[in-house]
Amino acid sequence: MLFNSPQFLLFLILVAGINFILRVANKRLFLLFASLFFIGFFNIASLAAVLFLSGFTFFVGSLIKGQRTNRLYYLALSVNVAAIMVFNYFLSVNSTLRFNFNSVDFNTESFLLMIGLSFYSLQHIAYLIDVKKQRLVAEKIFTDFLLYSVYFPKFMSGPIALHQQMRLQNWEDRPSGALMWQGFNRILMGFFKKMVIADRLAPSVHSIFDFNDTLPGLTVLAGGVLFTIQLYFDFSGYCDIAIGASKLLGIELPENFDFPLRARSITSFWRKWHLSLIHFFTTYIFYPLSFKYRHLKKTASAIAVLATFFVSALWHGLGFTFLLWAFCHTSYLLVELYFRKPNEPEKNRFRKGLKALSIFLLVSFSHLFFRSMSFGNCKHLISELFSTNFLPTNWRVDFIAPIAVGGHQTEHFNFLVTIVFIALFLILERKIFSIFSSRAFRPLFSFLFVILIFLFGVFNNGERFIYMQF
Amino acid sequence: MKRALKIFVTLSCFCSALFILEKLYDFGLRQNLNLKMTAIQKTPPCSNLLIHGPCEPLWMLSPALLDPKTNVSSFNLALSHSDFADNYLHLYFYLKHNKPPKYLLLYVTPESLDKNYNTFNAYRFAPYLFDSTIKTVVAENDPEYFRWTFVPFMKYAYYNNKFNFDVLQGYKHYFTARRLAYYPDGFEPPTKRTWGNHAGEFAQLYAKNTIFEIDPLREKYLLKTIRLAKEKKITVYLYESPVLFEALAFQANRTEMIKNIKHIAAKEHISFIQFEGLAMAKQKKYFISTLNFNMAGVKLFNDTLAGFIRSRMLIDTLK
Repeated sequence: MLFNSPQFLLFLILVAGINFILRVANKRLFLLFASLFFIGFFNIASLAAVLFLSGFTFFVGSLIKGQRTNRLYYLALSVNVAAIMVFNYFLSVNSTLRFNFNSVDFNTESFLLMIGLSFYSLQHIAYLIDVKKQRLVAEKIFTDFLLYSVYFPKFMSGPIALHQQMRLQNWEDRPSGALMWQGFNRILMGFFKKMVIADRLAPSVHSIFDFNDTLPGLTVLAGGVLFTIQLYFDFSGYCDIAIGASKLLGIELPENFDFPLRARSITSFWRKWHLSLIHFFTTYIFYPLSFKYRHLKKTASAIAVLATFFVSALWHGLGFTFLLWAFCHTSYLLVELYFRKPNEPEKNRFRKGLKALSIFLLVSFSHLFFRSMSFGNCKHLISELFSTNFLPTNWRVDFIAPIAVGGHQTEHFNFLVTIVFIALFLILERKIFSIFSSRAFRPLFSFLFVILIFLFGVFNNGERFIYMQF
Repeated sequence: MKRALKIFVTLSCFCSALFILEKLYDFGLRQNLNLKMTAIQKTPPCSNLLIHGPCEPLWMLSPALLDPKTNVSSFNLALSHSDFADNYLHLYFYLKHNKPPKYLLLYVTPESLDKNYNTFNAYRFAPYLFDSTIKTVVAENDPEYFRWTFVPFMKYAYYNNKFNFDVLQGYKHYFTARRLAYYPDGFEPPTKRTWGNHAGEFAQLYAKNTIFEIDPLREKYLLKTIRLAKEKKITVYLYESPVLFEALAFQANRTEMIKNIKHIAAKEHISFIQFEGLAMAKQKKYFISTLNFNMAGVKLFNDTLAGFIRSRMLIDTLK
């Protein structure tokens, strides 16, 4: 039951409807059962894993305060970390289980496929640390704790909502009409991003990355650029659907993106991209390390950046390619840390655009490592990028055909349409976001976007979200 | 109340828009002469030799090269990436709108019977789903798509990437009163391609220890195609063009599959013609992929095939 499946839409309408009319006292329990059903419908092994890990974390959390020894606390932390690592290990060695960048289907029946594990385990880790450090009172009711872990709109790929964020929600209140309209609008925007942009780009990215063809450097770079756009629209589209679905139930989830493709420095990029994960890493790794080594001044930040990205790479997967991706970003950030002048407000629009473009290209370059399926594939792409034939000798064959996935007019037309949508969306992004964050029903925009989805959205073969593999 | 009215009006506009769009797409696609389904209705080719199958005959058998040597008018009905169900429906539609040809040359290779290669392209039949035969075949071969066709406009929305350009082109053909398809005899020249990584491609196309498997649905539609042709008194020839010699080693059970095709041909009392022994099969310079020639290869093969067709048809006529 993926977000872009008809089953999910039906499920969401049903759950939102019942939640709206249900009596206050039963709401939490109802949402808990709906979430457990959602996970179980997907894969029983995922349900068993989340029940075990949540049960164990809750149990340890409630004991931590009174314990003199740290053993249980470290044990619970290790179990959650180990769960992520073991899951990533199985993903990296088991090709039949693997749901990766270029696969269309994945084996939902496999007992090794743990949907959402990397996301809720981080929530558990944060909960344990916060309880240990007495920043948070341990949860007393198991069903509440479980609901915060398994809450279905955020379960699969976030946004990672920390325990205290979930606890502060008005679970008992009936969602207001305004909030529900806002939810509807966000869902619509999410579907548009996913179906009209991300899924239309997927074949182009697949064609450049997955065949080890001899390609000119510019085509490889275009692959990195297209993948960055695909990843952004796929993941932010997913988050829009998750946030919107949650709003329909009256619950606000944290935002995950803040127009990252407009960032004019790498530091700023990381303040705008995958915010909930960055919030976790900065709170639990970056700040503690910076504080611990504060006497080293800038070196403390360097150590913290290095550690943060090392952990981030491991969280994404056990592949060497993720380490290279992390190394790239660490280098960018260190260069900024040591050589960049403090931020001065830029008034010249052209220079602003140029800066944003250069950051976008740097991020796209790092995504060549992130998207590579193996070290061999990565090596091939990088050697093509830095080979002597950077510019294509035959533009139609070596550039247009791979990115448009074919040499026919139909394919060129389709690719052109996608590019026009991307350009329009990125130029009008803030405006579109404000329209679709509106708390009112916007008939004209809703009508227009639904028609555009019908005309240009990918309905077949677009059933996966990239971040589900993590 | 005002909001409820707004929602009602929006929903009504939305449903009407879908209905109108569906009609606009129906019309546009039925005007696009570059689509073979439209071309065979609007500009009946009236050929005596019908070439049929997937991309191999489409890119490799040129009526312009064959006809002068065979003295038989031919038309290439083949379509890229198509399986036998796809071929069957195109033949059915051709025969519905045209005089039956004397001969049908249908491409068959081990890949044709294995469901991992080529596919049924339901979108090609979207404007013609009112026809009960087409509807039944589409429902059987692409049930997921067929389920959605009951929702207004979904028969186009589902594979919209395949339609948007063709619809616009259809309107262009309509307003410019175009009379002929871009490729009037149905043959599309092969793409110009420098084939570098052929070993890598073999490994991808025929992954380690790949054994072709006969898909019962494909076999069923191969038989249906043959029988439909025989019903209309068409002489059917199954044929396989040369396969790049280097690739044969990757096709583990090729001999067994060929034996199966021969068995089907014998059962249906038709000929299966192979060109395995041709010298050109050993020269990579004639190929752009394992099964497809470049233009130089096409010219050479069409010469050979024309000679063969001439002698074969002469024998059949004498019979």
